Amino acid sequence: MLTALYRLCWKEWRQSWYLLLAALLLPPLALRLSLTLTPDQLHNWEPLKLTMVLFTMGLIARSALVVFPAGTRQTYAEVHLPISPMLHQFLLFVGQALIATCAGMSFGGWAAQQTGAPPAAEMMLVGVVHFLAILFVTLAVARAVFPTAGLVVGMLWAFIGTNSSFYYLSFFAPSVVGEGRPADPLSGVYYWYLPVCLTAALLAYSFHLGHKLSLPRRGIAMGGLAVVLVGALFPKMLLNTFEHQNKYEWYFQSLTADDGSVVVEAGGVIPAVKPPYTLEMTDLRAGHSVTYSWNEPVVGVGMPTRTAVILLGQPTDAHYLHLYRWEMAGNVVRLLGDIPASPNIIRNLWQSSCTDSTCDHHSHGRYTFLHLPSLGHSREEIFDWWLIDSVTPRIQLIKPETYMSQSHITWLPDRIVLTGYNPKVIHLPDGAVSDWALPGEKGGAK
Amino acid sequence: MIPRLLWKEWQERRHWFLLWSLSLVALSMVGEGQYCTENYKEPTNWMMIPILLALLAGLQGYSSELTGNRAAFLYMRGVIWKQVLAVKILLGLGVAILTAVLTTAISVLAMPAVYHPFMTMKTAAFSALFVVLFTGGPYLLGLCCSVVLPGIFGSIGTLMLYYGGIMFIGMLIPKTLQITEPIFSFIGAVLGILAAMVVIVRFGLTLAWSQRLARFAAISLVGIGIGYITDFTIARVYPHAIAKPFSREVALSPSGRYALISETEDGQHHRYTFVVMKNDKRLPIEKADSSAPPSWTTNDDLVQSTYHGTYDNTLQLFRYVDGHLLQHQLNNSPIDAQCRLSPSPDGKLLLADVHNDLLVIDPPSGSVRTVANLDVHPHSTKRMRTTTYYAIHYWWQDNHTIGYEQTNPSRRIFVKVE
Repeated sequence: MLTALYRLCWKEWRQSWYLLLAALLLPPLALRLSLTLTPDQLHNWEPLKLTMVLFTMGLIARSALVVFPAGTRQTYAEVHLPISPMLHQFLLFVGQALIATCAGMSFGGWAAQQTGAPPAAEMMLVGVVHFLAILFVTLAVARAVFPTAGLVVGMLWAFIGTNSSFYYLSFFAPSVVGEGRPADPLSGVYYWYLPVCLTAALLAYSFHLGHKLSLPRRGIAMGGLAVVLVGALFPKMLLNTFEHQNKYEWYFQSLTADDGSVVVEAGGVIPAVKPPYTLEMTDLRAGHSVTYSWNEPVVGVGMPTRTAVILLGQPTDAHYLHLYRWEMAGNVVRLLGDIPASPNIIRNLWQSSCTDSTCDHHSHGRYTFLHLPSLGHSREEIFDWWLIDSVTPRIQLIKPETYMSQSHITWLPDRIVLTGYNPKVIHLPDGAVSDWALPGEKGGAK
Repeated sequence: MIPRLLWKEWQERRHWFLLWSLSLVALSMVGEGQYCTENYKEPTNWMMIPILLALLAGLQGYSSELTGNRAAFLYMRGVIWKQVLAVKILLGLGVAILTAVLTTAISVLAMPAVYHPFMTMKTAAFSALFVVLFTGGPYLLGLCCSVVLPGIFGSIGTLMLYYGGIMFIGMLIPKTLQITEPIFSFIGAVLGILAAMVVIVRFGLTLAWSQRLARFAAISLVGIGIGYITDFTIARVYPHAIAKPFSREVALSPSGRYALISETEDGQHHRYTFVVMKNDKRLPIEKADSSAPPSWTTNDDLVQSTYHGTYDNTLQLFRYVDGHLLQHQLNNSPIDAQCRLSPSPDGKLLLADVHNDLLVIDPPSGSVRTVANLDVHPHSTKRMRTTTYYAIHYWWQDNHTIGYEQTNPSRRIFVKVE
């Protein structure tokens, strides 16, 4: 038994000594480099990026193609060595995991040296988790289906884990650990995928150890694994959904007049989850305030005059937004009209940071310019531009499905000028939109 | 023979084509298809699904012939390689065109009624063309990568090797040799892979996979190499022909009388120009800090605050007076870039809140005075009962008086500013 085990170890060593040796050399090399190079030098050191790419690819290729050869070698080893097939698999697995752990620790350590922000131990843990995840996925698919599939899926997994690109793979450490997206091993993708990958790998082992499967059955196994892998995301999504369902908390981003002398704030209990939604408008200069309550959540648009405010409200599941004008004099609220909108879009308006940039107001108080989330598509950065004349009153869509690249809004008596990149001008009162340029430049006033 | 080949291709790959087409139809029906108005030209995020399916349909193109010795069998029939290639390309493009027309019609029907005035035949045609390009292109790319390794996974592997190879070459090239706009490198990469497909289909489809891989790599590399050399040559011979990264932004002042042009070249050289709109007079701002463009106050002053440290910042104020752009600079100012500066009603003084102190700034003299310390302790008022959120309120009561709200107990306090 021991002799067989020794021979098996020797065989595995002969088959993968170069990768194992390289992996064992990585930690001292990482330490040496960390001591001699500055973080900037380390970040820009091309051989390091190259090493990361080659090593990751090597690990995946080794796991997919060599450890599980499709030919007779595997069968030969299992038949001719007086050792349990499970022990054989375990040994193979441990060898690969050792390589993955060394690589993960080294690259995580390098990342810690480059960014310096999180503790080195934490980043090394993330590195190990990342490499073990790659290994498990590759092993599972190679075992359950066939080696080439394992190779492809392992590489895809490596890209997904490193911000979905070959290019970023070379920046594995800073992109995964430093900038943080799948950085936390206890949350997000890794929280669900790691145990699932482990389960999938073990399932795959059981498939292989049982008997040779036919190609259609391997296809079914592949489909099942894919469902398991993708399905691992759903518990997280479901939890998120249940966590937030019917618990939308209403906040109100306070509005302030240009000179700071009038403020509009939430007047009742916040965060509110049910009506009434109360606002308080205070004239600080005069020391006077009024309150008003709505039965639907409202979002502030702007203050067209010092003592008036424009608001958007939306009843639950309604396909429109109410547009209100609230005057401090007499504490009067007037419904200007309805704007077509996706149901419950009001939640996005107050929950997302776009609230501040969604709306602006005319300085003369008659017109309101809004850019609201697009009616046609769910893409976040695409807006519909609306112009509201509160005297007529008229609500007009002036430009649909538009990317908002303008950052400055200037209100002039007869037009609104949107400057920044790609400047535009909105002509009042018809709402015609055209390009804008400086005087003397192409398209500008002469 | 062509109809029979078409039938064969359809039989073999109809699942991929149908998935590609139906996914796009479904997206259009739920309103997440292509944009049919004139404004936006990029795909929605959901469009990645049909694009990916089109790529997979292409990846299955020749790789299905390479499994089970089917390629050799096919060429024993009375067909020539050109017919097989033409059928594989035409079928994909045909699906792309038909799907584009169908989904454009559905998108038009599914779009909100208020969008209809913004849609014309031209915008709808452009939308259809966009779908053809964004699905036909990936299909062709997939077809090119399908001639090397058998099976769809083999094709995916080839595609990844191709993509990875391009990235790898980019990494190896020293930064000093890199060109700004690699137009010909891109064209070379595309033509190279197309040429590799044609050559392998013509001469090597029945060879061993290693030979096909070698040919594919060699021809692709030649294409990329020629493109790169062409780019590099043009950059050397006509350095001015290659545009450098340049960005320009204009900010109009609140009154519309002035504008600020912010220009950035190569991502690091910043230029600011003050423009008087009435006579197009342009005044370069010489000593503005380059890290962030100045911003307008409500009375048309340009203010720039550069953060050096908590109480070590530079505040610059630019004011246009009698044909001249006057500049006032406060060194070692406590005011940082995050401060909101409120001008007094007559525009002579500025009010700022810095670390809970209310400061009044007189730009011409450079004096900064602390006039009040704000009470910012979290408190419980009738407005905010369940949160520790608090707001600081201060305002100009008139040209010589500042008001602010003390929160605990709540009362207004007025301070005279001389």
